[in-house]
Amino acid sequence: MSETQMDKTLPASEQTSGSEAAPRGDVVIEIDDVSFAYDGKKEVIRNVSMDVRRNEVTAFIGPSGCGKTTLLRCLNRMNDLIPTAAITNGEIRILDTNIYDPAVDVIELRKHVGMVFQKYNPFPKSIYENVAYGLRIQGIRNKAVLDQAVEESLIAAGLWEEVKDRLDASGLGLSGGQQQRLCIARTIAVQPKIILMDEPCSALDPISTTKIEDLITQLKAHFTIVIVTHNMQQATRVSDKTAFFYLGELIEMDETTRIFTNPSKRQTEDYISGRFG
Amino acid sequence: MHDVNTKVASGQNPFATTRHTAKRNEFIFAQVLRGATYFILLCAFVVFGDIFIKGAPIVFQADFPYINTDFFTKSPETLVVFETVDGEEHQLGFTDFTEYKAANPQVEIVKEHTHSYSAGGILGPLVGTALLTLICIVVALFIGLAAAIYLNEYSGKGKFMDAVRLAILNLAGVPSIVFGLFGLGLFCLFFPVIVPEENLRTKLAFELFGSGEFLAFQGWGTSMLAGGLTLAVMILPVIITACEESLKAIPQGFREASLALGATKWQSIRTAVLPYAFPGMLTASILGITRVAGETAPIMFTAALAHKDKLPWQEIGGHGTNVVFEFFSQSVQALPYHIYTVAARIPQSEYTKPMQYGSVFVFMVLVMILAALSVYLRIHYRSKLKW
Amino acid sequence: MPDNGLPHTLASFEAALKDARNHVLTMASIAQQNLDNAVRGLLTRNAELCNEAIAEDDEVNTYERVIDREGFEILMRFNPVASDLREVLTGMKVASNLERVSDQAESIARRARKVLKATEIPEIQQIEAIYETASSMLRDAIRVYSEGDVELGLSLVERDRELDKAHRKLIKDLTKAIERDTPNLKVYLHLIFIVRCLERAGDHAVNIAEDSIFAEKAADVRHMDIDEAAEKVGIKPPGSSSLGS
Repeated sequence: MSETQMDKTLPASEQTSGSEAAPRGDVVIEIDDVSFAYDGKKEVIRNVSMDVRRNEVTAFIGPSGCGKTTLLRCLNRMNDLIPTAAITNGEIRILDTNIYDPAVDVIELRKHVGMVFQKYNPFPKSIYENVAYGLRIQGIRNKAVLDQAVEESLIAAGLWEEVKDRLDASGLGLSGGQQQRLCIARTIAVQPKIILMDEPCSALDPISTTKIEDLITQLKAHFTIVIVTHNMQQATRVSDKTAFFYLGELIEMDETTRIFTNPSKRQTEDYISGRFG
Repeated sequence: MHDVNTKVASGQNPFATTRHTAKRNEFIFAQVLRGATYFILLCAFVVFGDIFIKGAPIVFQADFPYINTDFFTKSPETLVVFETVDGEEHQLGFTDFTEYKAANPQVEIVKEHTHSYSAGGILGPLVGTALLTLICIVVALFIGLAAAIYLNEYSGKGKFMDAVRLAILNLAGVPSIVFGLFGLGLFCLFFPVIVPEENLRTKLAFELFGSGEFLAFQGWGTSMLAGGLTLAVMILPVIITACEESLKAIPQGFREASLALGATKWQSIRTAVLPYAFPGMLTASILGITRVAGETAPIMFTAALAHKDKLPWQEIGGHGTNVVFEFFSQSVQALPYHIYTVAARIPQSEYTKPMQYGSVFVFMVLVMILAALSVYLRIHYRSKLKW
Repeated sequence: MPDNGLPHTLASFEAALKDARNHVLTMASIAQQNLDNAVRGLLTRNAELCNEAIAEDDEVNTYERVIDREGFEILMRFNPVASDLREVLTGMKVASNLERVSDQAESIARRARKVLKATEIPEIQQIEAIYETASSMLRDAIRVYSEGDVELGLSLVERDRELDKAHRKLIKDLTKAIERDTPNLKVYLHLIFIVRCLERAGDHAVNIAEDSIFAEKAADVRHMDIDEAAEKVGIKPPGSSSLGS
């Protein structure tokens, strides 16, 4: 594919950004021929296969109801909450482990695969308690450990400077964008390997959106990020890879630059250039 | 400006109404709706006003401490009305009357007549109602909350769960007198007690490991516990529904966020749902209390007595764990039953009215205080917990 | 250009793209006309044609501005991606090349008017061959843009090489002629510049073709030989000396 692709040289900064984490590029999520149904019969995802690589941002795009959010929620088994929903075919391997194996504890899985939701949902607790929540339910009570984790997570989420003087204030008193970054800090605090984001900016104004996007680009150095977005410009801005879904099928997955300059599938082109319907 | 005015005046108003019937109907319906609303206000005004005017003088007095303390510190007793030979009329409680006679043997009493329960105060009924309500709310909250959590958080969907919900709905529709009879049959006549030996009331008994005591299904008799449990069963549907509504009001996002951070289901319910549902449950429970406190029928057969000299803690025999059981096994007076008694079961006369109105007045004030408390709590927590 | 299948859901986007595209095509036909008029004027000794070419250059300049503004607005308003993005960018680049072609035409026309005032020299007719090549290249480049004929586009690279060869030979001939016919020095110099302008027009035609190939195939084939370019766009290399249709 690289022959036909627009000549693209990675800036040096991008190549060195994965500093402390493992070298960017090995596969951390393998989705292998996965089908999924909410009711055991009607498949809303059909035979999807893809690899998600370490320290990359992978964007899922596609029209509503194409299965992108469903697939995202398969990755940390949030779909388990729906009793009849189940994977009907294939395997999802994260860090080389089939996450639907009976030996996998879903609680442990979710510690490794964090999630940020569409509607920012901080708890009606203080900023501090919001960030410390994940650690507290793991039974960590040591104040020094919690203090450090809270500070580091808020710094990583780019919120520390804005809230360091009012950690005891309610998380709900923050602006929408700050609340979403608080939710990201809360997720980071548990130190996951992978962060799933389900349309994290859809409820935010453009400036807050820019801040979150900037944050995503920074977080890439330490986490592998999968983001579902309706906003294609957002996908072009933040993601390395883009996967286009339509009617439950993965139509095309490729470098984002390639998808948005010269996709190989007609359907992808029609969707991203606004020719659907 | 002048131009416009002339146009309107000469019938060229572009906005002149064309739909006369619709306008008339609009007016009529608005007035009907307004009338219905004001009618409720009128009812409330008449009821409360009447009770206040006739009841307040009994409860309050002109001199310090401005409250008729006897009314709150004495239990009901028989009112004795008599005239002395000099034509002076006296009203005394039975105890006082006895003392009076003993102290003044020289006084010749004529025209003596008595009115049951119309003297003294309402301490006994107040205490009894408080205890019944307490038992009821502890039991109902525990079971109701547990059931609500299970229904809303754990149970799936299905025919069985539909049946459970239908059962709860139906339970809410059962008349209170039926609950009273049910309580009588189950708690008073059937529930097991530990007795030293079998007796006539025993229907079924098992000896407890050769200890010489028997677990006998002979019922608890008329008791606070039976009454409290009956009330609890009656209020359960309300509590379950209220708790479930409170749980439903918690955004799904809290649960998801918590689970996504690696919480177990129970952890997520305990830390991310219950704390925020609690105020709603509290409000609903308080409203439940006011309803339970006012019920007469369920306690009529299971717990309430019209007359009792002593307060519950004044006549306990037994010792050790038995004390607790003994305590809760007593029958009590209860305010609604007391009102029923003085209003419907004794011959009416002008002498019985003060007790009637005083009791009702106190009861209404209690209900209003609880309702106000629930409104206050709701406002207080709503401003504190917003999402 | 490309067969875009479905129309855009946003009708105003669809209309804006179509408008810009039509403007490029109109501009192309005027630029082509200018080039033809300028050279025809010289060959047929018709100064009127030359004047027309000079006058019409303004029209072309106006179109360039219009197309740039439209392209700019489409980028700003509709954030085009993929083929739409390539089409807008290509439209603007093609317009820029067409404007330069028209500039060359104007330049040829001005010199032609001077040549026409001087004594007629026989070498003038030698320009016809090189003009035919340049003009057909431009026509084909515009066809590549309008129809997306990638194969035709690639053939232009080869034809440009031949144009260069012919241009160098003609310049050499004219230089020799100057030595023979010094009194007509000025006329020969004008001719040399005219030949040079035609060669430039050929280069612009190639640019237009290459940009159009990019719009069609998202492949940048600039500055590479024809086999390499053919491989990159995924077609068989055309016959090495084919001059297209």
